[in-house]
Amino acid sequence: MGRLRGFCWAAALALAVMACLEFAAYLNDGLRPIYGAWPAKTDRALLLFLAGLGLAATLAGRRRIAMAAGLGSASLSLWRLVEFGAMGAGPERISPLAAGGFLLVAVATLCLACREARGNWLPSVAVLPLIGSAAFLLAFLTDSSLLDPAEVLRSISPHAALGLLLASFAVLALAIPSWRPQGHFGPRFVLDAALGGFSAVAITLWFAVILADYVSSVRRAEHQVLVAADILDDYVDRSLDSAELLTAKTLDSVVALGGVEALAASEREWRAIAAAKGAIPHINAVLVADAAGMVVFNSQGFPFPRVISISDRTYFKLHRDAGLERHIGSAVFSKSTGQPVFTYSRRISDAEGRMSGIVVASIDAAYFDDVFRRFKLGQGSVSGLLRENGDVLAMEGGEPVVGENLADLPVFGSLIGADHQVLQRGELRDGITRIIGIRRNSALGTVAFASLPLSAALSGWKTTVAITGGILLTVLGAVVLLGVLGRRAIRREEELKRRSESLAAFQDAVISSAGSAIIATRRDGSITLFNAAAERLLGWRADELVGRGTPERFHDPEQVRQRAAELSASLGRPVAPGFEVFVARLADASVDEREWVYVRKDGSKIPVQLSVTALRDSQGEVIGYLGVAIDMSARRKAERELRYSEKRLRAVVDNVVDGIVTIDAKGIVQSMNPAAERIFAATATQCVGRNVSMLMDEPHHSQHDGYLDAYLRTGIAKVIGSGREVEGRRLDGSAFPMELTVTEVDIAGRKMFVGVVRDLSERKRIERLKAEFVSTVSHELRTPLTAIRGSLSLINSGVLGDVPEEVRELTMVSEQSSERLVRLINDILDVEKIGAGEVKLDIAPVTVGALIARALADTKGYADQYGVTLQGADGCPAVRIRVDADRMIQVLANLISNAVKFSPRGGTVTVAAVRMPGGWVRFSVIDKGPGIAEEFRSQLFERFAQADASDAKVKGGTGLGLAITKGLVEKMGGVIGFDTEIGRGTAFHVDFPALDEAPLRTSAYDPSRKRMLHVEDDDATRLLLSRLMGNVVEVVGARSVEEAMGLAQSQPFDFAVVDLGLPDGNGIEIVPYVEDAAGHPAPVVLFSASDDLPADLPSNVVSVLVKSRASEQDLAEILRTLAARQEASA
Amino acid sequence: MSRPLQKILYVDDEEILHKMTRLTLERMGGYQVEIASSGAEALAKAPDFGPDLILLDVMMPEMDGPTTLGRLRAQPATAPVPVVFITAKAQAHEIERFRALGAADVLTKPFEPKQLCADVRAIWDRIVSGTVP
Repeated sequence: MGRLRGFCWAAALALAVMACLEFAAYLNDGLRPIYGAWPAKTDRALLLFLAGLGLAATLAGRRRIAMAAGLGSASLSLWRLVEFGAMGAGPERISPLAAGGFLLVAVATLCLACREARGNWLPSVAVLPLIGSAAFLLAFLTDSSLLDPAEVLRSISPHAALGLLLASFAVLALAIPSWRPQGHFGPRFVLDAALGGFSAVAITLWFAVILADYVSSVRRAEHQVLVAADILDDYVDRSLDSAELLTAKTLDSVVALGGVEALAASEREWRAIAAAKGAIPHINAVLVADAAGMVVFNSQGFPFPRVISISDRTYFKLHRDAGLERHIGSAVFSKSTGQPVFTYSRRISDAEGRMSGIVVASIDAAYFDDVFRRFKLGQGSVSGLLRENGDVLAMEGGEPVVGENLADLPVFGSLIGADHQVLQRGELRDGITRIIGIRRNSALGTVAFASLPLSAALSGWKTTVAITGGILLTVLGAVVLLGVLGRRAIRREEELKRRSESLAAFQDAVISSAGSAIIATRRDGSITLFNAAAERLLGWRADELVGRGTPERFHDPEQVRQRAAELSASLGRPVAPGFEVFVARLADASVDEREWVYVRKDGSKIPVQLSVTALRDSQGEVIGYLGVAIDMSARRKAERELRYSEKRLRAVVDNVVDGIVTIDAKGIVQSMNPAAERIFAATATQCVGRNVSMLMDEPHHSQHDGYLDAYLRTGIAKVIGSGREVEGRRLDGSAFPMELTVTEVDIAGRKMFVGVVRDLSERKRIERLKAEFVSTVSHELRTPLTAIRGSLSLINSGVLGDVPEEVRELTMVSEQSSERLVRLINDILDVEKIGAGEVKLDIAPVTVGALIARALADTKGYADQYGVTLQGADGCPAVRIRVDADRMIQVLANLISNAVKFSPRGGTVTVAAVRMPGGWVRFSVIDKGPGIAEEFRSQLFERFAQADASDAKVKGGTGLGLAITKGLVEKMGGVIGFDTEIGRGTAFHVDFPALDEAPLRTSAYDPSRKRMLHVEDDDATRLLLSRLMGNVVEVVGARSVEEAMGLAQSQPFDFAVVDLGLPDGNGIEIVPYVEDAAGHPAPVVLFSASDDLPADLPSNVVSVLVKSRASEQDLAEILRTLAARQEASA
Repeated sequence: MSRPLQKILYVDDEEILHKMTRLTLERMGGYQVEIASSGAEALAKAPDFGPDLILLDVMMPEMDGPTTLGRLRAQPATAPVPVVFITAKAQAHEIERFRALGAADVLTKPFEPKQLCADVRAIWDRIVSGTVP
């Protein structure tokens, strides 16, 4: 293949070089001697170039270029052929033969180029140009033995022939791979070789026939012209003989009479000579001239007046000066008649040998026309009579004769010393190529010739060529048709073969790799096929069973007997317990499928599902059976396990107290457990297939689909994962509070959501009852307490007068106890209120200094009682924080009184405030007490937590103080904590964001960190969030729409939290302007005080939180999810 | 209207508080005190007694504090008299509500004699100085 391609490339290159040379010859006269002998160089150059280009493009796989070259070459050649048909050959046009050759090459190239697209059927065509061009080159190389070289040269130049041959070989070489697609010569080659060979033989035969006919036509013409020349010569010989006789008689008379003058005077002699001349029709006259050239005697009249002189005639001068005895003269116009004549003259010599005159016979040239007519050879034939020097004596067809000399024509060029008889091919003056026969008469010095135009000679041959060519074309057409049909048949055959092979391979693969056991048998049950799965299933090897056993070998004999009995009963005919058992049903069913027990080689039993099918031939006759067995043991086990697992799961789900509802990604309810049915007062059948929003009350009822969409899109969940309190809706439309925990599960690539629902209405009711109970009890306790304490206080104040000292001691104890009772009730109420979220806070900016001063003032009396000194250490009195001042004082007072209680008498409690990094203020209440025991620290802030029961009595606390303190601090957005050391003391501290310190920006821009824009006019919220998120993202704060706009338009943010109610407008305006570094809209979370949202939120709003329902911690949770997702997607 | 506080009408259904409150306000505060056990009684006694200030319990059977306040305002004789609510349920939003109803102030139970006198004096000072409408 590689070598073939190499050859093809070389051929293409050679063709291109040849084309260049041809074109150079066209442009450059200097090359004319080498390349100029053949016309139509531009045509040849172009055709050679196109042939080379077509080949190269085919090789390079550039089909379009190859096709363009082929089409160009084909159309040029075809055009030249048509032109030739219409106008005949011309010097500017390439010959029809060359054109035909190139046409064939072009067609072959086209076929090659189209091969991939149309199936490869070019081969027969590829042979044709080869044969044609080979024949041309052969003829050219073997020279003129068969053909006239001039004719061949005019037909095709050697370059064109060589080029054609090269191109033909290349085309053939390119065609070879299509003959041997699998590396060996297949049926295509046989077909192509047969048809190509046949075509080659047909073309060669045709060529041989027309060549032979050509040769015989030419030979015949040659023979004719030679014979004609002979006859003419003979005729001339005889004509001149009579002139000799006449001149001899006249010469005799001159001698007899004693001189020229005497003859001129003798009338008798004149009569005798005139009579002799009259008998010879082609002799016009006999003249006698004297030594001076004056005509003294003329057979045409007597006496002849002496007026005509022939002294100027060449023949006279030759006789006189050269002493010639006899002479045949050139044609001249007769001086007496004016007609073209030629002369036969003889010298009259006297006794001394001097010339005394000449005798001249004037021969009529026109007389020979008659002769020429008599042996006319054919259309355009020309015969004539010449002197040896080429002077024309007579010519056929009224050709000019006088003064005409043909010695310069190549055909007559070699007359001197030439053969007696010569056959020539050449042109006369008319330029028509002729076959010329020449006869030289050396005795007379004349040359007779006869000629026939080659075209006239070949007219019969041309007819033969046309007829046989037509037959050949018909035959070739039939061959091509046969080729096409044959190839189609071969292709169909190959297709069938390929299909059946692939089917067989497929079948083999399927059977051997099948997971099921496949066993085929003959009609009698003997096993013919036992696949790998069957070997694995049964433990038998295929070679142990194939051809040696029937399926009974591995069936449970008891089951076979049982089945035989069943079949006998149902079919009403006896069925033997053998192979028939498996196939008896197949008489009226296409497949028999049932469960059997197989016995493995080792004796163990396995349940299988066996399908038996009958194998039938094309007549429908059963030729065997095919059994496919599937091992059921694994499936049985799996089914059992699945059933068990399902049952167990069902039991759990059905009996769980919580309702379980599953929905798909579209929110459609998939299942509901009995508890859920109870909770929603609906049956599963009423809910499954409907949207889960039917089980929700507003606002979730109408927004649930939106939640799902948002979750699937952004991953930010409203409820997913975390338990939330939401309003549910029973089927009857009544709303109830429920706790909903949603988990996302992925089952086989499908997202599902499992909602666990807990009805909170009962719990709520109990809580409400409890709260009411506490409230009522407290209220009911207060009135009598007021009376008791008031009365005791009045008595002890002394306004009612003195009481005995012992009584007074008791009333004092009673008053203190009642006060403690009041505190306890107040604390219980506070704890309940904070727990129920009922504490109304009046948040406003207040200075740290004012808070500490009031707290110290309020607790001073108490501290005095314990003999403890209070000490203020306010490091930042002017800093403001946002708290409810009264509650904050309560917090500090609680902590101070706590510290006082645990301080030793005479000790000091320090109340300090310092600024912390990050814009926070820390309040610390420090005592030098015993410290908090390790085991107690963790429950320090729990209700009724006291280090030991005796504490309450000793210290007079209610055990609720720290719980209330912590609750209040957190409600106000602060953080409480403590440091303690056993034996050294305890420091409680409370942290709040410092208002004036609330930073708008926590750090310098760092492109590697995620950036979050937080638009919020509440400094505390902003500060808290930045504290919560500071380690995850860089938080950039803004207080107003204007400020946020400026930031969003100048810096990228990965996401944003936006408050809607801002001092200078609605925060929603900012949302569309928040973009990340890539210019995409960044996700935005709205954190707003109001539920009232615009109808169409911008698409980058991913979540909406309402401040009253969601804390900053919730917000931070969502933001962390968002940041993690962004991280993950990046 | 710069005048000293002289007469206080104390309205409360809890009779156990009557004696203690009367003694507190008379002996410690030095005011002239009249007691009513219900809203109706208060409405009946007020015109004759002519109090400068009325202390009115919120939770009373039959006619509660706010209703009584409305009736008092409806009587020409008692309409201009400032009323201070007394309640055991001292919740912030309720206090707001009572103020909105026209109460001069709200005192919470349980009250302590000295504190009560101080509160009443402070409230009267505010009323007199015009900071309470």
